[in-house]
Amino acid sequence: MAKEQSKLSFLWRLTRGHRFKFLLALLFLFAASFAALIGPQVIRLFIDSVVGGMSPGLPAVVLPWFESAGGTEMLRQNLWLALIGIVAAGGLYMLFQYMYDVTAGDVGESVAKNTRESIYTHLVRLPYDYFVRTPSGDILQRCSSDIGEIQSLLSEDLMSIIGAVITIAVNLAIMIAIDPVLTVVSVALVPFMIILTSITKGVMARAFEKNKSCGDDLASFMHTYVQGIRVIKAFGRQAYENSRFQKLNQSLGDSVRDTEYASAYYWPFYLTLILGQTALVIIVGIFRVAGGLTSVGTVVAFISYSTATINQFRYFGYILISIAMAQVALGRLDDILGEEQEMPDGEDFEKALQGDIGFENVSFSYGERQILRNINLHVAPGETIGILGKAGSGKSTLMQLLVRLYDPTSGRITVDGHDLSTISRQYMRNNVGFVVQEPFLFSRTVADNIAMAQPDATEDEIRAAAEMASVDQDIQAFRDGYGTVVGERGMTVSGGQRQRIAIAQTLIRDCPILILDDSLSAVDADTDKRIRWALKRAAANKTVFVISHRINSLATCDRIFVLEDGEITAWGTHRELASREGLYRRIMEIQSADRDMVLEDVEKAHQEGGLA
Amino acid sequence: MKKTDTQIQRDGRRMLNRLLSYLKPYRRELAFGIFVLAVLAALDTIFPIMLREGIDRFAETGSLEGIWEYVGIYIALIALSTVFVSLGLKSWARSWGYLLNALRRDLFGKLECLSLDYYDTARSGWIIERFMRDVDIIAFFPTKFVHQRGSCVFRLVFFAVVMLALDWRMGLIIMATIPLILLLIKFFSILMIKRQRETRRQGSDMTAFFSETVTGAKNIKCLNLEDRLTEEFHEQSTQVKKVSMSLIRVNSAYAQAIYFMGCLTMGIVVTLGTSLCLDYSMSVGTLAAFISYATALYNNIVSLSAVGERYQNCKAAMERFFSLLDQPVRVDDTPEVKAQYPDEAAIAHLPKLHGGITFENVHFSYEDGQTVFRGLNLTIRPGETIALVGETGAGKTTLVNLACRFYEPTEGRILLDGQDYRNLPLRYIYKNLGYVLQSPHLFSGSILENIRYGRLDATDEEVKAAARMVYADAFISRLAEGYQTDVGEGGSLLSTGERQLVSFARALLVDPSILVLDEATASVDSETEVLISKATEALIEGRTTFIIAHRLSTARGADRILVVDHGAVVEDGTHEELMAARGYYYRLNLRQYENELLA
Repeated sequence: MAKEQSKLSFLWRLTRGHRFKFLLALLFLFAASFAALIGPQVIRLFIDSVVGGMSPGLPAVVLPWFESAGGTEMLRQNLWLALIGIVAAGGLYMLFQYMYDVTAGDVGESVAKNTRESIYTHLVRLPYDYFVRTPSGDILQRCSSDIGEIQSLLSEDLMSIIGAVITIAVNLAIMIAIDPVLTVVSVALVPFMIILTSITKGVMARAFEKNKSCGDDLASFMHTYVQGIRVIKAFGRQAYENSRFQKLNQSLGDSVRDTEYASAYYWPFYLTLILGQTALVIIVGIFRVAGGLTSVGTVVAFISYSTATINQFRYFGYILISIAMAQVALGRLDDILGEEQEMPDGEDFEKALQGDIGFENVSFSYGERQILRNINLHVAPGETIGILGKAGSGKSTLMQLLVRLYDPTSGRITVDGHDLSTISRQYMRNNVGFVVQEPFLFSRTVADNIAMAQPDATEDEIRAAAEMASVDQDIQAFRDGYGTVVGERGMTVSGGQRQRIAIAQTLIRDCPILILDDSLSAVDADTDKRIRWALKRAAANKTVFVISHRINSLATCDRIFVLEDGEITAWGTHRELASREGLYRRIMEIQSADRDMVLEDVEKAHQEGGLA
Repeated sequence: MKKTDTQIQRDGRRMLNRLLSYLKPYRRELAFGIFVLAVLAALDTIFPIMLREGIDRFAETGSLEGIWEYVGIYIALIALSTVFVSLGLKSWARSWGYLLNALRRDLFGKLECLSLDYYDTARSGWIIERFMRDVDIIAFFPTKFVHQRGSCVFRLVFFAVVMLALDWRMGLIIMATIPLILLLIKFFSILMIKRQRETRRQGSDMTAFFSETVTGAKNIKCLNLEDRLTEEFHEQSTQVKKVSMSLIRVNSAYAQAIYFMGCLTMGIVVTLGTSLCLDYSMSVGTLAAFISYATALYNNIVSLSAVGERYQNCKAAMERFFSLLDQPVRVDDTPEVKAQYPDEAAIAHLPKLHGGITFENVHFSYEDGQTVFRGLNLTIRPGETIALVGETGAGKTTLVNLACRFYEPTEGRILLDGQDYRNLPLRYIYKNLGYVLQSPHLFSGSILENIRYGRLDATDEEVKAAARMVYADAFISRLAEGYQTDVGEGGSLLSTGERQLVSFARALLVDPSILVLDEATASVDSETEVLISKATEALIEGRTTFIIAHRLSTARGADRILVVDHGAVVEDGTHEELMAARGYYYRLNLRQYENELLA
């Protein structure tokens, strides 16, 4: 129950600032509804009075004015007044209806805007953990189609149903004032329409559900098929996949046909009721006219009133479905909003960060899994530290603790002597250049990407960073050079180039602490060396962490830590580790065995022909 | 050459004809459906006449004589309408479902045949949109849409006839307003389509923004971009509202304009009508009928106005659909071969290939004219292990694809065991082929099922034996559910190394005569690399193997190394031979560990 209330209060909050406009819109709608009723009255006047010679059934306020203008006879002499009257009434309606559409639309769009902005503002500040444990497809579904549901509920459906209620109320009020009996007749079949709709709702909903799921099944089959086409062809599995396809395809076609069949229960009878309703007005009307209880003009007017009113009831059918879908969507959006944001905490330093880092008995568990165990290490400012570890050893997590993407479960991390948890996240992230393992490029120009965190960087600074990252030449070779749009919606960039652009992005910020998380895996050994040399020069007094598989990349570090299953099992310089038993030496031996073989052959080739 | 307007129209008509030819089997059903629409329109035309009779015969006279016959007729008309609506409904429904099926079946058949060179350059998302969304749009138009709006056309015609018959002056005047309203509709359509397109684009920009935020969450946090991106989002969001409001204004203006035309017409009808009534040249009932017709006429015209836009959408969708359907298949069996080997049974008798491959003066160019090979000659003995080395884009993958007949040479020929492989059925060649991709693709399901994909009739024991041979059983037995472990979509629940071993086992199960190994470039730690090397050795034993090598250590162990550079095999020999030659291969090795040499 509390969840329901919070959902409604969320909706209510979204309408803030627009409630006055909402009332204004309703006012316009009232006016429009009244205006819509005038036209048929003009027709009635002309049919009954001008032609039929009856007394003009005008309201008391207007009557004296009308008589003094010449009354019915005047109209007879000036039949074109019918045109004027109807057009004028129509014009009034148009004016109010347009104002309503625009005002109501504004309310709807504003609320929609508020909704997506609240969601985004909240989403972007959620802790990293949320993005790790929630499948991205799930999040995106909520942000696109669920927001879309709410938007259409608020901007269209809600206004439609309120509009319908008002129109129906106004219509009925006026109709009753004119002829109560005919009014009742005009809506007599509505209850049956409602019953029919509610009976068939279940059948139709089920048919649509089936249709949707068949569609999803086929789409996902096709997706898998196209992605795996190479395997399917290579293994000759076409016949197998084909039979699976035929089944899914048949189901989908059948489900579409069945949704139509389902409406066979509904549509013919609904039509009967609509036709019957008009027939009822006409026939009862005829009886009453013949009996002198009402006039032909009134009956004609009521045919139009009845149709207009019945049309409004149509909206009620849709609205129930919309509300149901919107409720689901609200619930899902609520899930996002229910997540706690990464709250800013801690303070910034006044002095510049030196880069003295200590891990004291740090452990970290994620759920039930223990990832890091009793990590103890100390790094002095300006040191370059290498970290070697297999996949799953916890090496990335270790670095993520440093930028407070996560916080340790026990133990503490110190930076320049201060407890890391007392330092604000923003400050740490400003001062730590973290080149992540899977570099991500935004759908912007290369220059924008490099200067992403440093928006006032000059062109020269951007190029300098790119040069240091050994990617300047590559970029110049792009179609529009630094102005080339990359990312998801731009040019595809090779893995190695992406890594180097990410490095440039970090270097331009000139942070006192640098982390390179396996950032050189996709570049060849040559470029690896070049970048590390450039870094050595630029990062002379920075604290640098290098995570890598390649012993060559680690060998030049001041100190190396070996991480296995979340624990530091060895540390030392390259020489020290190479001379000891352990993972480091094993990997080094494998990598140098490769290398030695090559060197042997090269040596042999040299000997046989002298160095070329 | 730019198409003229008439040419574009003719294209549209031709595509429409093609589309309608799919519905041939449902000709009779559709004819009946259209007949039903005409009947319903006719019935609708009668109702205003009933109104006229009711007013003139009973209301005006005050006499109720014959009223019950009248009521009876009215009820009968309504009942007829109901009956015909139900009858028509099923015909249209069946034809809609059928058309969807037929279109997708044809398109899938084409997708099956298309060779890999198409898939290599096409985007999977694009293909699937054609398959799902475009087919929906196309199938909807001649079936459900006609069902919904078809009677409007009949009504317009019937109304016109009856109105002119009742009073030709009134009828003519009402008909005269139609061109005006059509002009109005056309004018607004252009405007609305533009606004709609803008709104759609803004919408997808929003989605892309969210998508980027989610995918790049880590980067955003590490770079402290939250505030900046929030601001940018607000800006874009405001734009979206602006564009949406503009669409709302246009839509409302359109609706009001139409309403105005309706009022104008109604005003004319009432003015002229009352004048005629006063002259006794028209009865009150007829006037009421005309009012009824005028209202209905407008509703029908507005209904029909949607046709233009729908047709445009349908045409665009048809263009994309048919362009995919008409895509030429570059690699396919000749009709003679198809006739000779009509089914699986015929192929089953063919002997297993030994694996000897010969390239005879092979030329190959891509569709876009890009030439890859010019006069390539190569002879490979059965069982040889060939390592292909060279830079990205040099042609290594293309060479292998040609050998496997995923591509066919544009000139020259390729022989398998001495026969031109174009004389052999494709299925037969693929049966003798095993392929391990660079980043292996697994299907969602268990490890067992994935390995079994190599040979669907393999027993569990055979599957496990294959896994053992490639050293995959070690990690599988460590998993909680062993062989039944789900691999996730695309194999995402396994690590890169594990996925590779599974795909090795799968290829092994095929026991192919020709094996292609596109070496993975993903970085795994050195110890896992050793395991994969051992598995590779087990896999390539006793069959002709192509290894597209990315690690020089792999190339070392091959029987022969081919260095491919810009579409030519520049070096061909064993590791020792090529090192001694001190050419490209030698320099490649040198570069790898250059710094070590100097150190």
